[in-house]
Amino acid sequence: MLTWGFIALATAGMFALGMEFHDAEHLSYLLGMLLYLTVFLWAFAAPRLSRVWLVLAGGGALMAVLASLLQSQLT
Amino acid sequence: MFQSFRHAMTWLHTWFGLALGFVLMACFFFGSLSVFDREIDRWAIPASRFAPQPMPSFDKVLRPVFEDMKPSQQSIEFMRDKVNGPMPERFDTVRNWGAYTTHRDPMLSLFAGYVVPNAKNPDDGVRGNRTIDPRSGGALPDDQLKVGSGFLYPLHYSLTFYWKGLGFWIVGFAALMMLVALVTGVVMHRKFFREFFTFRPKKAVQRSVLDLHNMMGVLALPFHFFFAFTGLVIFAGIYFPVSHTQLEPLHELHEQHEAQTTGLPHDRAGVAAPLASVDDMVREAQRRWAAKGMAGEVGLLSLRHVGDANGYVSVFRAGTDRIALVGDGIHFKASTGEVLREDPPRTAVDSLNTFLTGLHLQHFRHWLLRCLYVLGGLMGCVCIATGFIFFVEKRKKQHAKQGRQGSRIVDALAVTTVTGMLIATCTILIANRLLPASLPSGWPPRGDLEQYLFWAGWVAAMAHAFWRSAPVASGQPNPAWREQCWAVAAMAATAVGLNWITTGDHLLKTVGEAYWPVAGVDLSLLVCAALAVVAARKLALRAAAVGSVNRLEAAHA
Amino acid sequence: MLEGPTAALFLLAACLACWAGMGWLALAMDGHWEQVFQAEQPQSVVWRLRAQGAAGLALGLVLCLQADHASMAALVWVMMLAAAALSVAMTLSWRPGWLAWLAWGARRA
Repeated sequence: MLTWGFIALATAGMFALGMEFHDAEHLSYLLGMLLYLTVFLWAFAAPRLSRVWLVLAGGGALMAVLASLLQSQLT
Repeated sequence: MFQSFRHAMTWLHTWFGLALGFVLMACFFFGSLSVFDREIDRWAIPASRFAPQPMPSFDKVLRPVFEDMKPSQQSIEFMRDKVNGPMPERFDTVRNWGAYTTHRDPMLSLFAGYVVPNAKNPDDGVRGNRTIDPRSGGALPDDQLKVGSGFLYPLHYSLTFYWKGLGFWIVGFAALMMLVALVTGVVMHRKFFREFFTFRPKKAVQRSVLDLHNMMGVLALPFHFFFAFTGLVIFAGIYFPVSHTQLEPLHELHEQHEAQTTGLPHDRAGVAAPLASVDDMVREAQRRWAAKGMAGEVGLLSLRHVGDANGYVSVFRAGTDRIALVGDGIHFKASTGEVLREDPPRTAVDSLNTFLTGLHLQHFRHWLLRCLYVLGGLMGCVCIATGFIFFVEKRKKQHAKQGRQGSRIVDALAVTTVTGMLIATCTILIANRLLPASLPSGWPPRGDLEQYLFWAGWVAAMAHAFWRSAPVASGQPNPAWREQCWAVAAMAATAVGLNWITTGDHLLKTVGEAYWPVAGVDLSLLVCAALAVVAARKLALRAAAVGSVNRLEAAHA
Repeated sequence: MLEGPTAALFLLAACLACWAGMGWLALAMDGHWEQVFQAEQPQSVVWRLRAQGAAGLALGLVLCLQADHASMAALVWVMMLAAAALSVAMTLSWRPGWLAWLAWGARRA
C-alpha cells in the first residue's frame, strides 16, 4: 500500500517535472521495490506496531491521493 | 514485537526463508537452466538442431506466413467474455505483426495481434503465434513443446500457475523475500569477512552445512541480490499496475503526446494502404546503424496498423554485443518506406532500466558470462538447500525427544524440492524422447503430456520423500535423499542414452561436430549423474556410520 | 571490443588474476595462513598480501575491460570474483597445500 502510493506519486511527480512518462514509471518501480524491501524489514523490527500501521496505511493513502491530485492538474 | 533488531532479523530469515525457499529453489534452478533455454529447446526438438539464423527476408519468407496466420483458439477463448455481443468469426484487422530473434535462435518466433471491433476495452485484442524455420518459412508443428523457452523458463517466473495470475504473484513475493533473506542473512552473519573463505567439511554436520550456506550466500551476494531485484523490476507492471489504473489518464495523455512528437500514429486512419518493401527498409536500417559505427543484425521487426495508411514498420537492432535486448530503432512509413524516425540515444533513466532488465534477461552473446550466471544460480540453489538442511539438522533431535513432526515434514519437503525437482526435470526430458511424434486422436497434445509427466514425476518424488521420512521423527537422516540421488543418476544417464537412440546424435558425434547446444545438454546431464552418484555414496557411508553408532547405543541401553 | 581468441585470452588472464587476488586475500587471514603452512603467520605479510590481493582483483577488472565494453565487463568481473572466491575457498577446504606457492616471496620476508 505504501509502495503503491509512492510509485503513483513518484511517477506523476517526475512526469510533472518533465521526465518522459515511461522513464518516470520505471524509475519509480526501481525505487519502489527498494522501498518495499526497507519498509518490510522495518515493519518487523519496529518496536511499536501502531506506528507501523500509521506509516504504511497513512503514508500510502496520502501519497496516492497526492498523485491523483497531480494527475487531475495535468490532464 | 521482538527482543532486539538482530532477533527480529533472525526470525524473518528463518521462517520466511523456509516458507518461500521452496518456491525460490524452483526459481533459481529453472532460472539457471533458462540461461541455456534455447539450447534445451534444440535437444527437445531434434528438427531444430541446426545453426542459428539471422532474420530472413520479410517480403519473401515472412509475409506469406503472417498473412496465413490466425489468432489462437486459446486467445479467442480468453477474449470471449470481454466483448459486447457475440465473438466475431473473422479477425481481418491486424493491429501488429512481429518477429524476434537472437544469436542463439535457429527457429524464428512470429507473433500477431488482431483488433476485436466489439471489445469492451479498445486496447484489448486476440493474438496468434507461429514458429518457423527461417530458411524455408515452413512451420514447426504446433505440438512440439519448447521444453526450455516454452516451459522451464515460464516455470521460473510464474510456476506455470496462470489462474488469476497467481503464479506471478507467488514468485514476486518469493523474490521480495529473497531480498529480505539476503539482508537479514547479512545482519545475522557476524563474521562476514572473517569467514569469507571458510568451509569446514570435516566438522559436525550442522557446522559444515552452515558454512556452506553462508559461503554460497555471501560469495554470490551481488548476483543473488541483483537477480531477485531485477526480476521484481521486470514484472513491476504486474505487481503495481499503477499506470493502467490510478494513473491511466496520465498514461493516455502521454501516449497521445508521444504519437504527436514521434510521428508514429497511435490509431488507425481507417484508410487502406499497401505495404512497401520491408526488405528495403531493413537494408536502410542496417545502413544507418553501420554509418553510426554500430553495424548489427535485426533483433526485432515490428509492423503496426497493418494494411492501414497510418501503418509503420519498426526495425530494431539486436543487442548481441550489449546488455540491452534491442535498441536503435528506426521507424518507416509502411506504405512508402520513407524514414519517419530514428530513435534518439537513450535517456539516463532508460539506460539504467535497460541495463537492469537486460542483465537479467541476457540476450547478449558472451558464453563465459552465461556459464558464470549458471554457476551463480546453482550457488543460490545450494544456499537454499543447505538452509533447509540446517533447519532440519538443528531441530530434529529435539523434535524427536518432544515427539514433534515438524522436522520430518520440512525434511520431506526439502527432498521434494531438491532431488525431487531434478527427478521432475529428468522425467520431462525422458518423456520428450519417448513420446511418439504424433499421438492418436483423443489424446492430449504431446506438449501437454510432457508437462503432465513432469508434474507427475515431481509428485511421485514427493510421495516417496514423505513415505520414507519416518526416521527423521527419531532424529535420523531420511533415506529418501540417497535413494533419490540414485534415481537422478539413473534418469539423467537414461536421458542421454535416449537422445542417442532416438536421434543418433550421441556425444562423440555432437562434440566432434562442435554442435554445442546438444552436446552441452548431454554433458551437463552426465555431470549431474556423476555428482548424484558421489552424493548417494557419501550419504550411504554416513548412514552406515550413523547406523553402527545407533546399534552401539541400543546395545548399551 | 576485441573479438574471438584475443578476447578469450584476456578473459583467461582476468580469471587467473582474480583467482590469485582472492588467494592472496585469503592467505592474509591468519586462520587460512595456518591451514596452508601449519605455522604462525608473521605480522609483516598481512598488509602486503592484502595489497597484492586488491591489486590482483583490480588487474582482473582491467583485463575484463580489454575484452568487452564497460557494461558487459563489469558483470563479467563481478561474477568472476564470485567464482574465484568459491574456488579458493574449496581449495582451502580440500587441498590447502596447493595455495602455498601464492606466498612465494612473502614467506621469506
